[in-house]
Amino acid sequence: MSPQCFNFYVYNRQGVCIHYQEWYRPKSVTQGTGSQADDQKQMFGLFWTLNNFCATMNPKDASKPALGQPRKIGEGCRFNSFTTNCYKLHFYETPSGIKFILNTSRDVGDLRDLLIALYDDVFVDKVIKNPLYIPGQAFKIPQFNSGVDRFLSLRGMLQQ
Amino acid sequence: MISNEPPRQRLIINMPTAPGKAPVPVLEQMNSEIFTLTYGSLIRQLITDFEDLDEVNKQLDTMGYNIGIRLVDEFLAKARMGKCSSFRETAEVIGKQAFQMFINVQASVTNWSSDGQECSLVFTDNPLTEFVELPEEYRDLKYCNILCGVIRGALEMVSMDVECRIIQDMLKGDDCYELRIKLKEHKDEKFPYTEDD
Repeated sequence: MSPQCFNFYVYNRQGVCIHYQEWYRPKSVTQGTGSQADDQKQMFGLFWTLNNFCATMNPKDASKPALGQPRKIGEGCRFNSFTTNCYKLHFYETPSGIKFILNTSRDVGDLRDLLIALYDDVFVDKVIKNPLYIPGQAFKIPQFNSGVDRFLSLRGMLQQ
Repeated sequence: MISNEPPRQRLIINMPTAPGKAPVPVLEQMNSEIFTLTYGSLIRQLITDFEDLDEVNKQLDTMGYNIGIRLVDEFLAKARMGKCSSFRETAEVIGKQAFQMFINVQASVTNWSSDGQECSLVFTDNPLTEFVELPEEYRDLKYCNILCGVIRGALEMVSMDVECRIIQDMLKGDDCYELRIKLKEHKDEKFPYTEDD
């Protein structure tokens, strides 16, 4: 089976999902959390807690922050991805607080470099440089959607 | 009428870096003279529109801030930077990599305060002020205030609250440009949703 992307979230520092794109989601949102907004909030809560948890459980760091203690962006170790029996979730956080989450099928490797390249080539190019984009707010930029589609299909991640 | 959308200019950086230094990413190039002249005419227009030099300085700072909040993502993406571990490292990165990348200027970081919260960025080359002479009646104009705004905006996006001011200005007879950056607060990430949500 070739790799397949399921959906894609972009969050800002305030936890607002500023972009959501999906390609394959047979179980609709209403069967899960009930609404798109709830789904996005839960996703944010998930990786927020996971990051805190990873930093606390870090066996290498001499000074470990207590669970729940506020940290700076990127402080402590970061989590990259987790795999379940159905999908794999990849996470990348920029120092400016923008977070990218990509859900894919299980048979992909480490997509950290791909997410970094996505940030560099597509996000900065199509979103940040768009004069109508207000940093931190939700946006609807069709060029970004098509840019992401093109980027992923070039890497063989989308079944067309 | 000047719109509040700041002009976006990028200079190419193609200088070979010394061995052992962090590689500087290369952006699209543009002619530095066009950049200088555009900035100069922007200042001229601001002075005509606002007439009060304090207002002009404030506008430059706001425009710089608007540039900085967007510029930081481009810099982070191109430089593939992870998080800087301290304000000291941040200042070094601004002076050596960011200034080099965007305006082709090597700034050195000096004059650290005893608590490590304040420092100076010192440079002598400045593409914004080439060919510029400041007449006596504009002595209060902070010609490079846009740079202060850019630094403030960019660092705010990485949760550092800073204050940036111009201490020395070659247009006013000093022998270098000095920007003093003071870290007011390095903020933590707070969980944005309250219990009730």
